[in-house]
Amino acid sequence: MSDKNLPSRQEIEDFLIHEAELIDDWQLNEWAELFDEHGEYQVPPTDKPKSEPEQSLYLIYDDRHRLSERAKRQLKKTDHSEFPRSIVTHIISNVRVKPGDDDYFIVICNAVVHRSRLQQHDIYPVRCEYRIVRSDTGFRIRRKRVILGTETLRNQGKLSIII
Amino acid sequence: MGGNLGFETIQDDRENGRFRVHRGVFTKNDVLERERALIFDRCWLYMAHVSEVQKPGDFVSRRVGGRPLIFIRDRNGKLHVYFNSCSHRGAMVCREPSGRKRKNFQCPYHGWVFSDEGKLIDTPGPGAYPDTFNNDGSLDLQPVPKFAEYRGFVFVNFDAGAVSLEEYLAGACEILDLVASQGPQGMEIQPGMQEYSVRANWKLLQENSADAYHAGITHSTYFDYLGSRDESLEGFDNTLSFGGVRDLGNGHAVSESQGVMPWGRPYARWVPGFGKEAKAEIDAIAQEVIEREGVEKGEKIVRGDRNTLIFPNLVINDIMAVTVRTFYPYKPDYMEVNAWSLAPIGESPTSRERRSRNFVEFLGPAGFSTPDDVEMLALCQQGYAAADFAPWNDISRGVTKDVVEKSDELQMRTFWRHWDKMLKSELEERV
Repeated sequence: MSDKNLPSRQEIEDFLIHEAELIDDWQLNEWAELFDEHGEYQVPPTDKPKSEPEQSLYLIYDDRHRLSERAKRQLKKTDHSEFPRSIVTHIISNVRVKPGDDDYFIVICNAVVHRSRLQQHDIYPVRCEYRIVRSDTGFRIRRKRVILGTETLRNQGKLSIII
Repeated sequence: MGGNLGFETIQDDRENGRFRVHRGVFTKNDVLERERALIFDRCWLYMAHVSEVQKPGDFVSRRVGGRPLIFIRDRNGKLHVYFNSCSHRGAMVCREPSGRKRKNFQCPYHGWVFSDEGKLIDTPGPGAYPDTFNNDGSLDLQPVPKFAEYRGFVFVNFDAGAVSLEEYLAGACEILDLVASQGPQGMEIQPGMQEYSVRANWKLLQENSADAYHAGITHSTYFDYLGSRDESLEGFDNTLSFGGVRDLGNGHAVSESQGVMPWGRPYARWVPGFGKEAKAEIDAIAQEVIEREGVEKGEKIVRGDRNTLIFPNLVINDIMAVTVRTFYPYKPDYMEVNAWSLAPIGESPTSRERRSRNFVEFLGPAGFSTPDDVEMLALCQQGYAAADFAPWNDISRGVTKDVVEKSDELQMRTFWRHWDKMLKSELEERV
Protein backbone atom coordinates (compact mmCIF):
# COMPACT_ATOMS: atom_id res chain seq x y z
CA MET A 1 0.00 0.00 0.00
CA SER A 2 1.63 3.20 -1.16
CA ASP A 3 2.10 6.30 0.94
CA LYS A 4 -0.73 8.25 -0.64
CA ASN A 5 -3.27 5.53 0.19
CA LEU A 6 -2.26 5.33 3.83
CA PRO A 7 -4.89 6.30 6.37
CA SER A 8 -4.20 9.30 8.57
CA ARG A 9 -2.73 8.83 12.00
CA GLN A 10 -5.98 10.08 13.49
CA GLU A 11 -8.04 7.44 11.69
CA ILE A 12 -5.69 4.79 12.95
CA GLU A 13 -5.64 6.15 16.46
CA ASP A 14 -9.43 5.98 16.50
CA PHE A 15 -9.20 2.33 15.51
CA LEU A 16 -6.54 1.49 18.11
CA ILE A 17 -8.49 3.26 20.82
CA HIS A 18 -11.59 1.31 19.79
CA GLU A 19 -9.65 -1.96 20.05
CA ALA A 20 -8.28 -0.99 23.46
CA GLU A 21 -11.73 -0.10 24.67
CA LEU A 22 -13.08 -3.52 23.67
CA ILE A 23 -10.29 -5.25 25.61
CA ASP A 24 -10.60 -3.01 28.65
CA ASP A 25 -14.40 -3.55 28.65
CA TRP A 26 -14.02 -7.34 28.31
CA GLN A 27 -15.85 -7.38 24.97
CA LEU A 28 -13.40 -9.97 23.82
CA ASN A 29 -15.52 -11.73 21.18
CA GLU A 30 -15.94 -8.33 19.55
CA TRP A 31 -12.17 -7.86 19.86
CA ALA A 32 -11.59 -11.14 18.00
CA GLU A 33 -13.95 -9.95 15.25
CA LEU A 34 -11.55 -7.09 14.53
CA PHE A 35 -9.23 -9.67 12.93
CA ASP A 36 -9.74 -10.68 9.33
CA GLU A 37 -10.12 -14.31 8.30
CA HIS A 38 -6.34 -14.83 8.21
CA GLY A 39 -5.78 -12.90 11.43
CA GLU A 40 -2.93 -13.79 13.75
CA TYR A 41 -2.06 -12.70 17.29
CA GLN A 42 1.55 -13.14 18.42
CA VAL A 43 3.85 -12.44 21.36
CA PRO A 44 7.57 -13.23 20.86
CA PRO A 45 9.63 -14.56 23.78
CA THR A 46 11.12 -11.92 26.06
CA ASP A 47 14.71 -13.02 25.36
CA LYS A 48 14.28 -13.05 21.55
CA PRO A 49 11.92 -10.10 21.01
CA LYS A 50 12.98 -9.54 17.40
CA SER A 51 12.86 -13.17 16.29
CA GLU A 52 10.32 -14.61 13.88
CA PRO A 53 8.10 -17.52 14.98
CA GLU A 54 10.06 -19.87 12.72
CA GLN A 55 13.18 -19.06 14.75
CA SER A 56 11.99 -19.24 18.32
CA LEU A 57 9.27 -20.41 20.67
CA TYR A 58 6.72 -17.61 20.89
CA LEU A 59 4.73 -17.04 24.07
CA ILE A 60 1.57 -16.54 22.00
CA TYR A 61 1.28 -17.94 18.50
CA ASP A 62 -2.44 -17.77 17.71
CA ASP A 63 -3.99 -18.42 14.34
CA ARG A 64 -7.47 -17.04 13.67
CA HIS A 65 -9.21 -19.99 15.31
CA ARG A 66 -7.07 -19.92 18.42
CA LEU A 67 -7.36 -16.19 18.97
CA SER A 68 -11.15 -16.39 18.91
CA GLU A 69 -10.95 -19.38 21.29
CA ARG A 70 -8.61 -17.34 23.50
CA ALA A 71 -11.29 -14.63 23.66
CA LYS A 72 -14.02 -17.18 24.47
CA ARG A 73 -11.85 -18.86 27.11
CA GLN A 74 -11.18 -15.58 28.88
CA LEU A 75 -14.90 -14.91 29.20
CA LYS A 76 -15.53 -18.16 31.09
CA LYS A 77 -15.62 -18.47 34.86
CA THR A 78 -13.40 -21.50 34.38
CA ASP A 79 -10.62 -19.28 33.04
CA HIS A 80 -9.32 -19.34 36.58
CA SER A 81 -6.47 -16.89 36.09
CA GLU A 82 -9.03 -14.25 35.05
CA PHE A 83 -11.85 -15.01 37.43
CA PRO A 84 -12.66 -12.66 38.98
CA ARG A 85 -11.72 -10.55 35.98
CA SER A 86 -8.83 -8.12 36.06
CA ILE A 87 -9.31 -4.41 35.73
CA VAL A 88 -7.45 -3.73 32.48
CA THR A 89 -6.38 -0.29 31.29
CA HIS A 90 -4.65 0.39 27.99
CA ILE A 91 -2.73 3.61 27.36
CA ILE A 92 -1.68 3.98 23.73
CA SER A 93 1.00 6.28 22.36
CA ASN A 94 3.71 6.86 19.73
CA VAL A 95 1.46 5.82 16.83
CA ARG A 96 3.15 5.43 13.46
CA VAL A 97 1.56 4.45 10.12
CA LYS A 98 3.81 2.98 7.45
CA PRO A 99 3.45 1.37 4.04
CA GLY A 100 3.30 -2.42 4.05
CA ASP A 101 2.71 -4.43 0.89
CA ASP A 102 -0.09 -4.48 -1.73
CA ASP A 103 -2.55 -5.80 0.76
CA TYR A 104 -1.87 -4.26 4.14
CA PHE A 105 -0.20 -1.32 5.81
CA ILE A 106 1.81 -1.29 9.01
CA VAL A 107 0.92 0.40 12.25
CA ILE A 108 3.28 0.59 15.16
CA CYS A 109 2.43 1.94 18.58
CA ASN A 110 3.66 1.78 22.12
CA ALA A 111 1.28 0.86 24.88
CA VAL A 112 1.29 0.53 28.64
CA VAL A 113 -1.23 -1.96 29.91
CA HIS A 114 -2.18 -2.06 33.56
CA ARG A 115 -3.78 -5.09 35.14
CA SER A 116 -5.19 -5.05 38.63
CA ARG A 117 -6.67 -8.06 40.38
CA LEU A 118 -6.70 -9.64 43.85
CA GLN A 119 -4.42 -6.99 45.37
CA GLN A 120 -1.90 -7.42 42.59
CA HIS A 121 -1.00 -4.68 40.13
CA ASP A 122 0.91 -5.70 37.00
CA ILE A 123 2.29 -3.40 34.33
CA TYR A 124 3.06 -4.49 30.78
CA PRO A 125 4.92 -1.91 28.67
CA VAL A 126 4.72 -3.10 25.06
CA ARG A 127 5.35 -2.22 21.45
CA CYS A 128 2.55 -3.36 19.13
CA GLU A 129 3.20 -4.00 15.47
CA TYR A 130 0.10 -4.38 13.34
CA ARG A 131 -0.61 -5.38 9.79
CA ILE A 132 -3.94 -3.80 8.97
CA VAL A 133 -6.17 -4.20 5.91
CA ARG A 134 -9.17 -2.23 4.72
CA SER A 135 -12.49 -4.03 4.41
CA ASP A 136 -16.09 -3.06 3.58
CA THR A 137 -16.71 -2.62 7.27
CA GLY A 138 -13.59 -0.64 8.10
CA PHE A 139 -10.12 -1.65 9.21
CA ARG A 140 -9.36 -5.27 10.00
CA ILE A 141 -6.26 -6.69 11.72
CA ARG A 142 -4.29 -9.19 9.65
CA ARG A 143 -1.63 -9.58 12.31
CA LYS A 144 -0.98 -8.13 15.73
CA ARG A 145 2.43 -8.76 17.22
CA VAL A 146 3.00 -7.57 20.78
CA ILE A 147 6.62 -7.18 21.81
CA LEU A 148 6.94 -7.10 25.57
CA GLY A 149 9.00 -4.23 26.92
CA THR A 150 10.14 -6.22 29.93
CA GLU A 151 13.24 -8.37 30.17
CA THR A 152 11.27 -11.30 31.61
CA LEU A 153 7.82 -12.02 33.07
CA ARG A 154 9.21 -12.35 36.61
CA ASN A 155 7.30 -9.33 37.92
CA GLN A 156 3.97 -10.22 36.32
CA GLY A 157 4.26 -14.00 36.62
CA LYS A 158 2.07 -14.60 33.60
CA LEU A 159 0.29 -13.02 30.66
CA SER A 160 -3.33 -13.98 31.19
CA ILE A 161 -5.01 -10.92 29.66
CA ILE A 162 -5.14 -9.84 26.05
CA ILE A 163 -2.69 -7.01 25.48
CA MET B 1 9.52 -36.40 63.60
CA GLY B 2 10.63 -33.12 62.12
CA GLY B 3 13.46 -32.75 64.58
CA ASN B 4 13.79 -29.25 65.97
CA LEU B 5 11.67 -27.71 63.25
CA GLY B 6 9.10 -27.90 66.00
CA PHE B 7 6.31 -29.51 64.02
CA GLU B 8 5.43 -32.77 62.32
CA THR B 9 6.17 -32.30 58.62
CA ILE B 10 4.46 -35.34 57.09
CA GLN B 11 2.22 -38.15 58.35
CA ASP B 12 2.70 -41.33 56.34
CA ASP B 13 0.12 -43.69 57.85
CA ARG B 14 0.23 -46.71 55.57
CA GLU B 15 -1.94 -48.81 57.86
CA ASN B 16 -4.92 -46.49 57.69
CA GLY B 17 -4.27 -45.18 54.19
CA ARG B 18 -3.61 -41.57 55.09
CA PHE B 19 -0.80 -39.38 53.79
CA ARG B 20 -0.68 -35.79 54.98
CA VAL B 21 1.73 -32.89 54.58
CA HIS B 22 1.84 -30.06 57.09
CA ARG B 23 1.23 -26.68 55.47
CA GLY B 24 3.99 -25.14 57.53
CA VAL B 25 6.48 -26.64 55.08
CA PHE B 26 5.27 -24.08 52.51
CA THR B 27 5.42 -20.99 54.70
CA LYS B 28 8.28 -21.14 57.17
CA ASN B 29 11.63 -19.47 56.62
CA ASP B 30 13.54 -22.06 58.64
CA VAL B 31 12.19 -24.81 56.37
CA LEU B 32 13.53 -22.94 53.34
CA GLU B 33 16.91 -22.45 55.01
CA ARG B 34 17.17 -26.19 55.61
CA GLU B 35 16.03 -26.96 52.08
CA ARG B 36 18.82 -24.79 50.73
CA ALA B 37 21.44 -26.47 52.86
CA LEU B 38 20.19 -30.06 52.89
CA ILE B 39 18.48 -30.40 49.51
CA PHE B 40 19.63 -27.79 47.00
CA ASP B 41 23.25 -27.95 48.17
CA ARG B 42 23.25 -31.76 48.04
CA CYS B 43 21.21 -32.75 45.00
CA TRP B 44 22.06 -32.65 41.32
CA LEU B 45 20.40 -29.53 39.88
CA TYR B 46 19.60 -28.96 36.21
CA MET B 47 21.86 -26.28 34.73
CA ALA B 48 21.33 -26.29 30.97
CA HIS B 49 21.12 -28.49 27.89
CA VAL B 50 24.36 -29.15 26.06
CA SER B 51 22.79 -27.84 22.82
CA GLU B 52 22.83 -24.35 24.31
CA VAL B 53 26.63 -24.28 23.95
CA GLN B 54 27.17 -25.92 20.56
CA LYS B 55 30.22 -24.01 19.31
CA PRO B 56 33.53 -23.09 20.96
CA GLY B 57 33.06 -19.97 23.07
CA ASP B 58 29.29 -20.43 23.50
CA PHE B 59 28.13 -19.75 27.01
CA VAL B 60 25.03 -19.28 29.11
CA SER B 61 24.98 -17.54 32.46
CA ARG B 62 22.10 -18.11 34.83
CA ARG B 63 21.30 -18.68 38.48
CA VAL B 64 21.10 -22.30 39.52
CA GLY B 65 20.34 -23.22 43.10
CA GLY B 66 20.35 -19.49 43.82
CA ARG B 67 23.93 -18.99 42.62
CA PRO B 68 25.20 -17.22 39.51
CA LEU B 69 26.92 -19.70 37.20
CA ILE B 70 28.57 -19.65 33.78
CA PHE B 71 28.34 -22.73 31.56
CA ILE B 72 30.79 -22.45 28.67
CA ARG B 73 32.36 -24.51 25.90
CA ASP B 74 35.95 -23.29 25.69
CA ARG B 75 37.93 -22.71 22.48
CA ASN B 76 39.04 -26.34 22.54
CA GLY B 77 35.50 -27.66 22.94
CA LYS B 78 35.82 -28.56 26.61
CA LEU B 79 32.85 -27.81 28.91
CA HIS B 80 33.21 -25.84 32.15
CA VAL B 81 30.87 -24.59 34.82
CA TYR B 82 32.19 -21.93 37.16
CA PHE B 83 30.75 -19.37 39.53
CA ASN B 84 30.07 -16.00 37.96
CA SER B 85 31.88 -13.98 40.58
CA CYS B 86 35.24 -12.21 40.23
CA SER B 87 38.01 -13.54 42.47
CA HIS B 88 39.04 -9.95 43.24
CA ARG B 89 35.97 -8.32 44.77
CA GLY B 90 33.13 -10.60 43.74
CA ALA B 91 31.34 -8.75 40.95
CA MET B 92 29.66 -10.87 38.30
CA VAL B 93 32.13 -10.96 35.42
CA CYS B 94 29.45 -11.88 32.87
CA ARG B 95 26.25 -9.89 32.55
CA GLU B 96 24.87 -11.35 29.34
CA PRO B 97 22.48 -14.32 29.67
CA SER B 98 24.04 -16.07 26.67
CA GLY B 99 26.41 -15.48 23.81
CA ARG B 100 29.71 -16.45 22.29
CA LYS B 101 33.02 -15.37 23.80
CA ARG B 102 35.70 -14.77 21.21
CA LYS B 103 38.26 -14.22 23.91
CA ASN B 104 37.81 -13.61 27.61
CA PHE B 105 35.60 -12.41 30.40
CA GLN B 106 36.72 -9.07 31.78
CA CYS B 107 35.31 -8.02 35.11
CA PRO B 108 33.67 -4.60 34.65
CA TYR B 109 34.75 -3.39 38.10
CA HIS B 110 38.60 -3.32 38.10
CA GLY B 111 39.23 -5.10 34.84
CA TRP B 112 40.55 -8.49 35.91
CA VAL B 113 40.54 -10.78 32.92
CA PHE B 114 39.62 -14.47 32.91
CA SER B 115 40.05 -16.90 30.03
CA ASP B 116 37.28 -19.08 28.66
CA GLU B 117 38.67 -21.81 30.92
CA GLY B 118 38.14 -19.53 33.92
CA LYS B 119 41.88 -18.85 34.46
CA LEU B 120 42.98 -15.44 35.70
CA ILE B 121 45.14 -14.10 32.87
CA ASP B 122 45.49 -10.38 33.55
CA THR B 123 45.30 -7.86 36.39
CA PRO B 124 45.54 -4.32 34.96
CA GLY B 125 48.36 -2.17 36.35
CA PRO B 126 51.95 -3.45 36.44
CA GLY B 127 53.99 -4.46 39.48
CA ALA B 128 51.28 -4.37 42.10
CA TYR B 129 51.22 -8.06 42.88
CA PRO B 130 54.05 -10.52 43.65
CA ASP B 131 55.26 -12.83 40.88
CA THR B 132 53.81 -15.80 42.72
CA PHE B 133 50.33 -14.29 42.64
CA ASN B 134 47.82 -17.02 41.72
CA ASN B 135 50.47 -19.75 41.43
CA ASP B 136 48.00 -21.95 43.28
CA GLY B 137 45.10 -21.06 40.95
CA SER B 138 43.03 -19.77 43.84
CA LEU B 139 42.33 -16.54 41.94
CA ASP B 140 40.80 -18.30 38.94
CA LEU B 141 37.04 -18.32 38.64
CA GLN B 142 35.87 -21.00 41.05
CA PRO B 143 34.58 -24.10 39.32
CA VAL B 144 31.40 -25.72 40.68
CA PRO B 145 32.29 -28.72 42.85
CA LYS B 146 30.71 -31.12 40.32
CA PHE B 147 28.97 -31.04 37.00
CA ALA B 148 27.98 -33.85 34.67
CA GLU B 149 25.93 -34.56 31.58
CA TYR B 150 23.42 -37.29 30.94
CA ARG B 151 22.15 -37.56 27.33
CA GLY B 152 22.51 -33.82 26.80
CA PHE B 153 21.07 -32.72 30.15
CA VAL B 154 23.73 -30.90 32.17
CA PHE B 155 23.50 -30.87 35.96
CA VAL B 156 25.61 -29.30 38.69
CA ASN B 157 26.14 -30.36 42.28
CA PHE B 158 27.44 -28.10 45.07
CA ASP B 159 28.45 -31.15 47.12
CA ALA B 160 31.88 -32.47 46.12
CA GLY B 161 31.05 -35.77 47.81
CA ALA B 162 27.83 -36.39 45.89
CA VAL B 163 27.12 -39.72 44.16
CA SER B 164 27.47 -39.80 40.38
CA LEU B 165 24.75 -38.16 38.29
CA GLU B 166 23.68 -41.47 36.80
CA GLU B 167 23.37 -43.12 40.21
CA TYR B 168 21.39 -40.11 41.42
CA LEU B 169 19.02 -40.13 38.44
CA ALA B 170 18.32 -43.83 39.02
CA GLY B 171 15.11 -44.82 37.21
CA ALA B 172 14.77 -41.34 35.69
CA CYS B 173 17.56 -42.26 33.26
CA GLU B 174 15.01 -44.30 31.31
CA ILE B 175 12.77 -41.25 30.89
CA LEU B 176 15.64 -39.02 29.76
CA ASP B 177 16.62 -41.77 27.30
CA LEU B 178 13.12 -41.79 25.82
CA VAL B 179 13.10 -38.02 25.39
CA ALA B 180 16.65 -37.89 24.05
CA SER B 181 15.86 -40.61 21.48
CA GLN B 182 13.07 -38.70 19.73
CA GLY B 183 15.26 -37.05 17.11
CA PRO B 184 17.54 -39.17 14.92
CA GLN B 185 20.26 -36.54 15.35
CA GLY B 186 19.55 -35.81 19.00
CA MET B 187 17.72 -32.97 20.70
CA GLU B 188 18.17 -29.23 21.15
CA ILE B 189 16.66 -26.41 23.16
CA GLN B 190 14.50 -24.18 20.95
CA PRO B 191 15.47 -20.49 21.18
CA GLY B 192 12.97 -18.58 23.31
CA MET B 193 13.15 -19.07 27.06
CA GLN B 194 10.16 -18.69 29.34
CA GLU B 195 11.14 -16.74 32.45
CA TYR B 196 8.29 -16.18 34.85
CA SER B 197 7.47 -16.57 38.52
CA VAL B 198 4.86 -17.93 40.87
CA ARG B 199 3.91 -16.40 44.19
CA ALA B 200 3.87 -19.76 45.86
CA ASN B 201 6.18 -22.27 47.47
CA TRP B 202 8.40 -24.17 45.02
CA LYS B 203 7.23 -27.61 46.14
CA LEU B 204 3.73 -26.81 44.93
CA LEU B 205 5.01 -26.59 41.36
CA GLN B 206 6.77 -29.94 41.62
CA GLU B 207 3.48 -31.44 42.87
CA ASN B 208 1.44 -29.69 40.20
CA SER B 209 3.65 -30.63 37.25
CA ALA B 210 2.65 -34.31 37.31
CA ASP B 211 -0.77 -33.95 38.91
CA ALA B 212 -3.24 -35.56 36.53
CA TYR B 213 -6.09 -35.26 39.02
CA HIS B 214 -6.39 -31.49 38.54
CA ALA B 215 -6.33 -31.54 34.74
CA GLY B 216 -10.03 -31.98 34.03
CA ILE B 217 -11.02 -29.24 36.48
CA THR B 218 -8.26 -26.62 36.43
CA HIS B 219 -7.76 -26.99 32.68
CA SER B 220 -11.34 -27.49 31.51
CA THR B 221 -11.00 -24.48 29.17
CA TYR B 222 -8.03 -26.15 27.48
CA PHE B 223 -10.10 -29.26 26.83
CA ASP B 224 -12.91 -26.98 25.56
CA TYR B 225 -10.36 -25.61 23.08
CA LEU B 226 -9.29 -29.07 21.95
CA GLY B 227 -12.96 -29.95 21.55
CA SER B 228 -13.45 -26.94 19.30
CA ARG B 229 -10.65 -28.09 17.01
CA ASP B 230 -10.18 -31.83 17.16
CA GLU B 231 -12.44 -34.84 17.23
CA SER B 232 -10.03 -36.50 19.64
CA LEU B 233 -12.03 -35.74 22.80
CA GLU B 234 -14.57 -38.43 21.95
CA GLY B 235 -14.33 -41.20 24.53
CA PHE B 236 -11.62 -39.34 26.49
CA ASP B 237 -11.91 -39.87 30.25
CA ASN B 238 -11.15 -36.43 31.62
CA THR B 239 -10.73 -37.79 35.14
CA LEU B 240 -7.55 -39.44 33.80
CA SER B 241 -8.36 -42.73 35.55
CA PHE B 242 -5.93 -44.68 33.41
CA GLY B 243 -2.21 -45.01 32.84
CA GLY B 244 0.09 -45.30 35.80
CA VAL B 245 2.61 -43.74 38.15
CA ARG B 246 6.04 -45.12 38.95
CA ASP B 247 8.48 -44.33 41.72
CA LEU B 248 11.82 -43.94 39.92
CA GLY B 249 13.95 -43.80 43.06
CA ASN B 250 15.63 -40.91 44.94
CA GLY B 251 12.41 -38.89 44.95
CA HIS B 252 11.91 -39.02 41.17
CA ALA B 253 8.59 -40.19 39.71
CA VAL B 254 6.72 -40.39 36.43
CA SER B 255 3.02 -40.23 35.60
CA GLU B 256 2.51 -41.92 32.25
CA SER B 257 0.07 -43.29 29.69
CA GLN B 258 0.25 -44.43 26.11
CA GLY B 259 -1.90 -43.26 23.22
CA VAL B 260 -4.94 -42.03 25.15
CA MET B 261 -4.38 -38.34 25.74
CA PRO B 262 -6.41 -36.17 23.37
CA TRP B 263 -3.75 -33.72 22.24
CA GLY B 264 -1.48 -34.15 19.24
CA ARG B 265 2.23 -34.85 19.50
CA PRO B 266 4.61 -33.48 16.89
CA TYR B 267 6.76 -36.61 17.56
CA ALA B 268 4.42 -38.21 16.70
CA ARG B 269 0.68 -38.56 17.16
CA TRP B 270 -1.55 -37.00 14.55
CA VAL B 271 -4.81 -35.28 15.53
CA PRO B 272 -7.28 -33.56 13.19
CA GLY B 273 -6.17 -30.13 14.40
CA PHE B 274 -2.82 -30.69 12.67
CA GLY B 275 -4.68 -30.83 9.33
CA LYS B 276 -4.96 -33.69 6.86
CA GLU B 277 -1.85 -32.56 4.99
CA ALA B 278 0.25 -33.17 8.12
CA LYS B 279 -0.74 -36.80 8.56
CA ALA B 280 1.74 -38.33 6.13
CA GLU B 281 4.72 -36.53 7.68
CA ILE B 282 3.70 -37.34 11.26
CA ASP B 283 3.15 -41.00 10.39
CA ALA B 284 6.58 -41.08 8.72
CA ILE B 285 8.18 -39.54 11.83
CA ALA B 286 6.60 -42.25 14.00
CA GLN B 287 7.72 -44.93 11.56
CA GLU B 288 11.33 -43.68 11.58
CA VAL B 289 11.47 -43.73 15.39
CA ILE B 290 9.96 -47.21 15.60
CA GLU B 291 12.36 -48.58 12.98
CA ARG B 292 15.34 -46.97 14.72
CA GLU B 293 14.48 -47.84 18.32
CA GLY B 294 12.42 -51.03 17.93
CA VAL B 295 8.67 -51.43 18.39
CA GLU B 296 8.46 -51.45 22.17
CA LYS B 297 10.66 -48.43 22.88
CA GLY B 298 9.57 -46.69 19.68
CA GLU B 299 5.88 -46.86 20.64
CA LYS B 300 6.73 -45.44 24.06
CA ILE B 301 8.58 -42.56 22.43
CA VAL B 302 5.97 -41.59 19.87
CA ARG B 303 2.70 -42.47 21.58
CA GLY B 304 3.55 -42.11 25.27
CA ASP B 305 2.74 -39.05 27.38
CA ARG B 306 4.96 -38.67 30.42
CA ASN B 307 5.08 -36.08 33.20
CA THR B 308 8.35 -36.65 35.01
CA LEU B 309 9.54 -35.16 38.28
CA ILE B 310 13.27 -35.26 38.90
CA PHE B 311 14.04 -34.41 42.49
CA PRO B 312 14.12 -31.71 43.65
CA ASN B 313 13.18 -29.13 41.01
CA LEU B 314 13.29 -30.44 37.44
CA VAL B 315 10.24 -31.31 35.39
CA ILE B 316 10.41 -33.01 32.00
CA ASN B 317 6.92 -33.09 30.56
CA ASP B 318 6.73 -34.98 27.28
CA ILE B 319 3.16 -34.17 26.32
CA MET B 320 1.88 -31.96 23.44
CA ALA B 321 5.55 -30.91 23.15
CA VAL B 322 8.51 -31.46 25.43
CA THR B 323 9.10 -28.92 28.16
CA VAL B 324 12.10 -28.71 30.45
CA ARG B 325 11.16 -26.69 33.52
CA THR B 326 13.15 -25.79 36.60
CA PHE B 327 12.51 -23.42 39.47
CA TYR B 328 14.06 -22.12 42.64
CA PRO B 329 12.65 -20.50 45.78
CA TYR B 330 13.87 -17.04 46.68
CA LYS B 331 11.32 -16.82 49.49
CA PRO B 332 8.97 -19.42 50.97
CA ASP B 333 6.12 -17.91 48.95
CA TYR B 334 7.98 -16.97 45.76
CA MET B 335 9.77 -19.01 43.10
CA GLU B 336 11.33 -18.14 39.79
CA VAL B 337 10.63 -20.51 36.91
CA ASN B 338 12.68 -21.12 33.76
CA ALA B 339 11.18 -23.27 31.03
CA TRP B 340 12.25 -24.32 27.56
CA SER B 341 11.07 -26.41 24.65
CA LEU B 342 13.22 -29.42 23.77
CA ALA B 343 13.02 -30.32 20.08
CA PRO B 344 14.66 -32.75 17.67
CA ILE B 345 17.76 -31.41 15.90
CA GLY B 346 17.11 -31.20 12.18
CA GLU B 347 13.33 -31.27 12.54
CA SER B 348 11.57 -30.15 9.35
CA PRO B 349 10.19 -26.58 9.31
CA THR B 350 6.61 -27.90 9.11
CA SER B 351 7.10 -30.15 12.12
CA ARG B 352 8.85 -27.37 14.07
CA GLU B 353 5.92 -25.11 13.28
CA ARG B 354 3.44 -27.68 14.66
CA ARG B 355 5.63 -28.06 17.75
CA SER B 356 5.82 -24.33 18.44
CA ARG B 357 2.05 -23.92 18.09
CA ASN B 358 1.32 -27.05 20.10
CA PHE B 359 3.66 -26.12 22.95
CA VAL B 360 2.00 -22.79 23.69
CA GLU B 361 -1.56 -24.02 23.23
CA PHE B 362 -1.11 -25.40 26.76
CA LEU B 363 2.28 -24.51 28.19
CA GLY B 364 3.95 -21.30 29.23
CA PRO B 365 2.97 -18.05 30.91
CA ALA B 366 0.53 -17.12 28.12
CA GLY B 367 -0.70 -20.63 27.22
CA PHE B 368 -4.21 -21.94 27.79
CA SER B 369 -3.19 -23.78 30.96
CA THR B 370 -0.03 -22.61 32.73
CA PRO B 371 -1.63 -19.32 33.88
CA ASP B 372 -4.36 -21.35 35.57
CA ASP B 373 -1.74 -23.48 37.32
CA VAL B 374 0.03 -20.33 38.48
CA GLU B 375 -3.32 -19.13 39.85
CA MET B 376 -4.01 -22.40 41.69
CA LEU B 377 -0.59 -22.44 43.33
CA ALA B 378 -1.00 -18.85 44.47
CA LEU B 379 -4.46 -19.68 45.86
CA CYS B 380 -2.97 -22.57 47.84
CA GLN B 381 -0.23 -20.34 49.20
CA GLN B 382 -2.79 -17.74 50.27
CA GLY B 383 -4.87 -20.47 51.91
CA TYR B 384 -1.87 -21.52 54.00
CA ALA B 385 -2.19 -18.31 55.99
CA ALA B 386 -4.84 -20.36 57.82
CA ALA B 387 -2.39 -23.19 58.51
CA ASP B 388 -2.45 -22.71 62.28
CA PHE B 389 -6.08 -23.78 62.26
CA ALA B 390 -6.22 -25.87 59.04
CA PRO B 391 -2.78 -27.47 59.05
CA TRP B 392 -2.86 -30.49 56.72
CA ASN B 393 -2.71 -31.15 52.97
CA ASP B 394 -4.11 -34.54 52.02
CA ILE B 395 -2.04 -36.53 49.52
CA SER B 396 -3.73 -39.92 50.06
CA ARG B 397 -5.33 -40.44 46.65
CA GLY B 398 -4.80 -44.04 45.54
CA VAL B 399 -2.78 -44.89 48.64
CA THR B 400 -4.47 -48.27 49.21
CA LYS B 401 -4.73 -49.28 45.53
CA ASP B 402 -2.74 -52.14 44.07
CA VAL B 403 -2.73 -50.58 40.62
CA VAL B 404 -2.05 -46.86 40.79
CA GLU B 405 -3.51 -44.71 38.02
CA LYS B 406 -2.34 -41.43 36.55
CA SER B 407 -4.85 -39.43 38.58
CA ASP B 408 -3.56 -40.86 41.87
CA GLU B 409 -1.00 -39.11 44.03
CA LEU B 410 1.84 -41.62 44.31
CA GLN B 411 4.18 -39.25 42.44
CA MET B 412 3.69 -36.66 45.19
CA ARG B 413 4.11 -39.16 47.99
CA THR B 414 7.35 -40.24 46.32
CA PHE B 415 8.55 -36.64 46.35
CA TRP B 416 7.49 -35.98 49.91
CA ARG B 417 8.97 -39.16 51.38
CA HIS B 418 12.34 -38.32 49.88
CA TRP B 419 12.08 -34.66 50.82
CA ASP B 420 11.35 -35.59 54.41
CA LYS B 421 14.19 -38.08 54.52
CA MET B 422 16.70 -35.53 53.25
CA LEU B 423 15.58 -32.89 55.67
CA LYS B 424 15.80 -35.32 58.60
CA SER B 425 18.88 -37.40 57.93
CA GLU B 426 21.11 -34.45 58.55
CA LEU B 427 19.33 -33.48 61.72
CA GLU B 428 19.86 -36.94 63.12
CA GLU B 429 23.55 -36.87 62.16
CA ARG B 430 24.01 -33.50 63.77
CA VAL B 431 22.34 -34.42 67.08
